[in-house]
Amino acid sequence: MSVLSAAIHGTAAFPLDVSLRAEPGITVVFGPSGSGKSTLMRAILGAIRPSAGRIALGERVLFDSERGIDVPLRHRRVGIVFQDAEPFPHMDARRNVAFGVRSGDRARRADSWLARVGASALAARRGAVLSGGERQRIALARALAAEPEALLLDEPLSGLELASREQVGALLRTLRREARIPFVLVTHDPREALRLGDRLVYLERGRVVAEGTPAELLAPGGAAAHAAGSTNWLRATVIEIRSDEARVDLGGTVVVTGPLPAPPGTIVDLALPAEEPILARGEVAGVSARNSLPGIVSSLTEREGVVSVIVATPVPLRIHVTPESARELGLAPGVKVIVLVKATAFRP
Amino acid sequence: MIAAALSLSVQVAIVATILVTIAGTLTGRALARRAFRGREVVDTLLTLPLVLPPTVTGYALLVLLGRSGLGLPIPFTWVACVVAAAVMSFPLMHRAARVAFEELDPRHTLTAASLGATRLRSFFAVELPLARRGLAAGIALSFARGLGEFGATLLLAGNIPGRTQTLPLAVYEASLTGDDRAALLLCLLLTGVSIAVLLLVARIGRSR
Amino acid sequence: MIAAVVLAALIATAVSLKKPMDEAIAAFSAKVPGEKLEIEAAASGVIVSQVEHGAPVDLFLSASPVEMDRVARTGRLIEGSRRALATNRLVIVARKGLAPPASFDDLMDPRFKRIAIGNPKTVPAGRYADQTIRKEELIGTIERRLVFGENVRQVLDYVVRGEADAGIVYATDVKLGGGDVVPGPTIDATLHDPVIYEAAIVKGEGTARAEAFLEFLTSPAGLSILAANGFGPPPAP
Repeated sequence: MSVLSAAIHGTAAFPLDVSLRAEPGITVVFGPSGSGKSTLMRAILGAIRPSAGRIALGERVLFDSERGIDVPLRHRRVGIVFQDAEPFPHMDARRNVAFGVRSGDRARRADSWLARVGASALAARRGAVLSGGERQRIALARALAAEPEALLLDEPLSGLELASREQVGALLRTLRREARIPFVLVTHDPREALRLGDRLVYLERGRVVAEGTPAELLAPGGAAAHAAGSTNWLRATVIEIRSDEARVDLGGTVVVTGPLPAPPGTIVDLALPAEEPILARGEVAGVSARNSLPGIVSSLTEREGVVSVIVATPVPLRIHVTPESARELGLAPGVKVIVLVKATAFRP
Repeated sequence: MIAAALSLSVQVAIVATILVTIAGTLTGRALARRAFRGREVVDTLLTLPLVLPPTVTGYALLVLLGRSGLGLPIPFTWVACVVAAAVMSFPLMHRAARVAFEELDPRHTLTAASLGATRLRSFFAVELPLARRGLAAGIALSFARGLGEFGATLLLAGNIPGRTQTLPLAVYEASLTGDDRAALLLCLLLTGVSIAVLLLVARIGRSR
Repeated sequence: MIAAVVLAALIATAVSLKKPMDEAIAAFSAKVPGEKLEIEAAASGVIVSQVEHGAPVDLFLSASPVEMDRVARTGRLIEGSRRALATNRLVIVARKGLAPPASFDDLMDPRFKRIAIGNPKTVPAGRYADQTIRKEELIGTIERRLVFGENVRQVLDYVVRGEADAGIVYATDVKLGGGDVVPGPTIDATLHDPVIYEAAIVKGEGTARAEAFLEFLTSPAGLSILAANGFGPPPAP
C-alpha cells in the first residue's frame, strides 16, 4: 500500500515548511493563493528541489536532503494532471494516453483506459476539438495509464463548466476508489474540497495550519472557514423534490431550497452567502422567506465593519450583520434567534 | 557561369542550413529553458553576425580561420562559402528556435517527464513537434539568408568562378563587367528563389 | 558677387596609383589653395561600372587603356583630354618564409599552393597576370591554385597575410608589403599587354578643376612624384 509522505523545509522560491501524509484516497491541500500549494506539489513531483526535507512514496525514498537522495522527476512514478492543461496537441487521444504506458500493448492499454474514463469515442480526436471536460478525462487517463504510485491534481475542476464539473468530479471519486493510490488534490475552491476530499490539509503562508475532514474544517467556525470566504458551504441530502422547490437535510436541520436537479437521497453541495439570512429576536409572521430556523448564537466576531455571527441551528450557519444591528438586537453568545432564509438563497 | 553559380549556391545553402538548423535549435532551446546570469549576454554574442556588417564578420572569420589564425585550410574553398553562409544565417535560426521553445507550455515537458519519458524522448516526441512551426520558419529564413550571402563570402571565400562564386557574387561581377544580361538573369533567379522561400514560410505559418 | 558652394572635383583612380595621387593632391593644393579635390580608389573595372551608371567622377585614372576605352564608348569623356601618365611592371612576390620563384615557370612548384592575382575581369593587374600565365602555357596547371583579389591591394594583402603563397602585383606595390613579402622576379613585359596608366576628364560639374589638376600631373612636378614612387615614364607618343 503506497502512502505518500512529504516533509519539506524550505525551497529556494518559497518559504514552505510542511509535513504531509497522504494515504490512498483523495487528500485535498487547501489554501488561498500564495499559500504554497503549487510549490508543495512541484516539490513532490520533482520539479523543485527543497532545501531540506524528505519525500517518500511507499518504501521508495524520492528525496532526502540528509542522505543526498534526489530521484529525477521521470523516475518518481508520480503522475500529474494540471489545471487547464491540454493533452499533447500534436497527438490524438489514444496516443496521448499510450504515451506513458510502460509495457504491453500500448494501444490496447490506452483504449482500455479511455473506456474507463468514458472517453472511448474520443480516441482518434486531437486537442483542439475537445471540450474542457473531455480534455481532463484524457489527461486523467494518460496519467493513470502510466501506473503511477501517486497522483497529483492541480485544481482539476476549475475552468470547467457546471455539467462537466459534476461529471469529472464523479469520475475522480470512482477512480480514487479503484486506483488505491494517494491522490493529492490542490485547490482553493471550497466546493472542490468538499466534493472530492477524504481529508483536508489547510495551508496558510507555507505552513499547515489544520488537518481534518473537509466538512469539519470548512464549516463555519472551522479552521479553514475564513479561507473559504464568507459563504456557508453546506452538504445536504435531498429529501423531497418538487417542480418549484426542494427539501434537503443539512444534517439535522431541514430547509427549503429552490428546485434541484437531483433525486431524493443524493448528496448535494449548497452555498449560502453569509449576507443572505436575516436574524430576528422573536417569531416573525408573514415573511416571504420559506425558511424560519430557530437557533442559538454561538459566537460573534467583528472584522472590518462587519459582525460575523455563527448560529447553531443546530447546523452552524454564518450570518453577516452590521454592528448597529448586532447592538440593537442585543446579539451575544447564548441568545436565541430566528434565522430567516429565502429558499433561493441556497445555491447549488 | 550562371549554371555553376546556381549549383554552388544551392549546395552551399543546403549544407549551411543543415548545420545551422542543428546548432540553432540546440542553442535556442538551451537559452529558452533556463534563465541564468549572463543569458542575454550570450544571446547577444550569438546574434552578433545579424547586426555586424557582413564584411566585418567575413574579415573576422578570415583572420580567425586563415593562416594568421587557426591556420585551417578553409579560405577560398567552398567550405568557406558554407562557413560564411552558416555564420551569417545562424542568428536567424537561433532567434526563431529560442522563441519557439519559449512559447512551449512548460507543463507539457513536465507532464512528459512525469509519464516516464527520458529527456531525449521528451525532446523528440513532445518538444520538437510542438515547436515545429517556429523552427520551420527559422529554417526557411536561414536558407534564404544563406543563399543570398555576399559580404562575408566575398572576404572569406573569394570570388572564384566555378569554385566559390555563388549567385550573389556572380551578380556583383556581372554588373561590374557590364554584362547586364547575365546580371539581370541572376537577379531574377535569386529573387525567384527568395520569393518561393517566403511563400513557403507563410504557408507553414498558416497550416495546422 | 554671388557666393557659390565650392564643390569638390572627384578623382577616381586605380588602386595602384592611390599613394602617388595623395601626394600629388597635397602638392597641388599647396600650390593652388582653394581647389577642393576628392579621391576614390578602386579596381579600374569597378570605376568603369560606376561611371557607366552615372557616378559623378570628374577625372578617371585607369591602370589600363582597356578600361579607358570602355568609358570612351559611353561618350562621357571630354574630347582630347585623354593622355598617358605612366607605366609599371609586374612582379611576383612570395609570402614571408617562402623562397620566391626563381623564374615565372617556377610558380608550378608545389610550394606555391595558392597564387593570388587580381580578378581578370575587373582588375587590370589581374588581366595582365592572366595573359602572362596563358602566354607561358601554365594555365592548365596553375588554374586550380589561383585565388582572385578584387583589387591589386587585396592581392598584396593575401600574400602579406599568408593566405596566398605567392602573388602577382605591380612593382610599385612591393615596397608597400614591407618585410611581409619576399620580392621575386619581375615579369617579362612582352608576356602581357603594356601596363599603361591613362587619365581622362569625364564630362561633369568639376571639369575646370579636373583640368587644372591634370595639367599639374603631366607637368614635371607631377611626373616626378610618379617617378619617385617607382612608376615608369609614359611611353613616347
